[in-house]
Amino acid sequence: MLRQTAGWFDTRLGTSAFVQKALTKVFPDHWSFMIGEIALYSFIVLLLTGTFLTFFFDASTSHSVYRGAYEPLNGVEVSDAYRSVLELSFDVRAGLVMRQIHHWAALVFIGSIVVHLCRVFFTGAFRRPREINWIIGVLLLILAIFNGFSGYSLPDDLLSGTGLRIAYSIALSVPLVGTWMAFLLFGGEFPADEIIGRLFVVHIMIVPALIIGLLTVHLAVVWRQKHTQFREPGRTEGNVVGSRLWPSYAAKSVGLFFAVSAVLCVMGGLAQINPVWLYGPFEPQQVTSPAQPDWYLGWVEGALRLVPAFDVRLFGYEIPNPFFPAVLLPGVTFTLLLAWPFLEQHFAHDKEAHHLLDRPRDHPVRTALGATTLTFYTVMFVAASNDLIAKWLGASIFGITLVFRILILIMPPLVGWGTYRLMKALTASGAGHLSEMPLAALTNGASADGHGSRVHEGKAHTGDGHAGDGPAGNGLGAPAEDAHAPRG
Amino acid sequence: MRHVQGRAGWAVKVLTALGAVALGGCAYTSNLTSPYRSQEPVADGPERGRVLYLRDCAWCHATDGSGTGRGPDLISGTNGAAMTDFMLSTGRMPINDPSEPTRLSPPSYNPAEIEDLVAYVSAFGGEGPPVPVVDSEAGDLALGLELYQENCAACHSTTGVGGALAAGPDPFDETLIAPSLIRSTPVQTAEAMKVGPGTMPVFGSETFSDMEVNSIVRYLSHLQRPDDRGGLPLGHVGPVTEGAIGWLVGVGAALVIVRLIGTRVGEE
Repeated sequence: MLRQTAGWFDTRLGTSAFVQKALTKVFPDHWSFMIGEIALYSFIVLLLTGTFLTFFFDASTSHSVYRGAYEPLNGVEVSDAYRSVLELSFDVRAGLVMRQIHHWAALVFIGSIVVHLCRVFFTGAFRRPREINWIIGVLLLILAIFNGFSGYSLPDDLLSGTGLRIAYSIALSVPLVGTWMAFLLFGGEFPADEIIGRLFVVHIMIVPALIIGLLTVHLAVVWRQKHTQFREPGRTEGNVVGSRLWPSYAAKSVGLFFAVSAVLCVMGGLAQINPVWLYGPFEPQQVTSPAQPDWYLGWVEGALRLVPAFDVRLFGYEIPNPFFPAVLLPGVTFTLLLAWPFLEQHFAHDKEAHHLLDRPRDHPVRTALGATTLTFYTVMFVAASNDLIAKWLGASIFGITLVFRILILIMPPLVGWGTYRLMKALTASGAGHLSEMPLAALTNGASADGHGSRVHEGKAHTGDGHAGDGPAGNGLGAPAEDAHAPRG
Repeated sequence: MRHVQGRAGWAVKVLTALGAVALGGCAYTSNLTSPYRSQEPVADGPERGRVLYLRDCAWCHATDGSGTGRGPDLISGTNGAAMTDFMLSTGRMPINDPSEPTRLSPPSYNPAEIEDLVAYVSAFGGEGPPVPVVDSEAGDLALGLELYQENCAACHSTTGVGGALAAGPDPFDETLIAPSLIRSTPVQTAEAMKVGPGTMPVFGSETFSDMEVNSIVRYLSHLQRPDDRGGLPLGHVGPVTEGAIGWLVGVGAALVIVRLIGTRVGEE
């Protein structure tokens, strides 16, 4: 029966050749290649739970009376958006667990994208010919952050309203066009009635559609260009060693989907997230403290808290202070991130194609720069909690802020320098792994020139030694694929 | 040679002088530690308030409550019965050293002793409000929520867990804390509103009627036993702890899983 159906399609579409090719596709087995799949599967959980939520959410700031199980707000007039989230949390069967799984999945989705990005960065997987996928990946990160924030803003509770007010002020701070932009986005002066409805369309349709589109291209490009792999015996610039899609990699990947879903469901069932009923409905004259965004915007919040108060006037126009931490900084951040593969090609004079990955130590400058950058954003991220840290430590909030202002200047170069020394020492010691490196190598090895660190560049051209598995016939120089022998 | 000896002698002198200053400093500061406070209970009776006051309070606030260089008077402003009861029942007073900050802590006296002290201090003539009578059952929960959000949440947080306030511009100041209200009793909450302890503004009877005070207290008692139907409350501080759990538990578990599914370099 199955065979007949397949045959029916094959005679009309010629599918069997494609399926044959697809099922024998080779995937590397290294664990770090599956981090992106965590993001993929979190996204699928987001789509499933999000669809459920749209059945009940009412994206409107019109007011109506909540009548339901949450006693303090029973009989109170609130916005339809807030009322429907209260009903989801108290009165719709399984509504709350769906909300919570959705929110936890969003945090894990963006978290795993960042880890995936770090893996790609520190192993040099973005190098030619994979610059395209690096750019698509960074765009996916931006879209994910944007969709996270729009979702966080939808329930119209006091915390998310405070966040929207900050977003409005950030839009206002753009020189020349800020006021126009803020009014255009929000549909008038804050708190405008339009914003919830608009964010809803953005959150459930426009951005998810863009994410699905770019994700498809992201995966298609991986498929077309084939995977990178770590340098190991039998692995060359000209081949890919791993498991075939069918059956072994498919089993792993489906297993990972179930495992990620399980983790998210357990979190959604056991740990409360965004209890909007405790925060109360948004009223423009009210504010709550502490007020933080979800973690993925923590670095922008931290930058807003760390940048000292100063005024800039240019050509008779004031550039409002929030412009620098909240518009310029993210703009520069993502521009540099998008441009990184080309910057590295330019400054490292390496425009060659690479299919074998670097270990972080193989390229100490890149690794040190990455560590510096991560430290910079981590300090800002932690500084976003300066009020909570002040409370927990019983120290002055100004003192804490001062400490962070000092840390953000000295920590990134310090960590970068330390990382550089460590990578050099690791190379000089010849240890296979950081844990195997003798401590003395740190002091001795640092001065030695990392003679091992450039070995890969010599090797990079040895692919023609493997005539048999030379570049595949797709004209891209993409490597051939070798599946493992069946395992014992 | 003589020259060197001279230098050494000079150094010895300086060191000796520094040592003497240090010792003197130690002696001076050790003199300044807590006033002697007897731990012996004072027998119940008409004199107990006076005895406790003279023993534990008068050293800083003076025998007639007019204050000294070490502590403020207990008569002006909103001082009086409610203020005294609030400071004693929340353990903010007494403190051992005038430079100590007043902090929410276990009370030093039992309720009967506090009552006697309140009566004794009120007799100094402070014009602040009396200890309020609170009936939270008479309050309206929804009105309480609205008033709480409008007047209290900005400092004490919508969930009542408190927060840090911007203190003076000196970075070495101790922070100002809007304390957690999670253990506050109805009477203490009402007292704080009426007298405005520390940096808190006064929300007196011209601001809130008795009905409104009762409503706020009622909503606060709801916040003290909140409906955490979503599971672990994670401290009720919002995205900071949520982000930590999202990374440590969510991303962390997922990474452990891929590590278990996948291989390492050199592993087959």
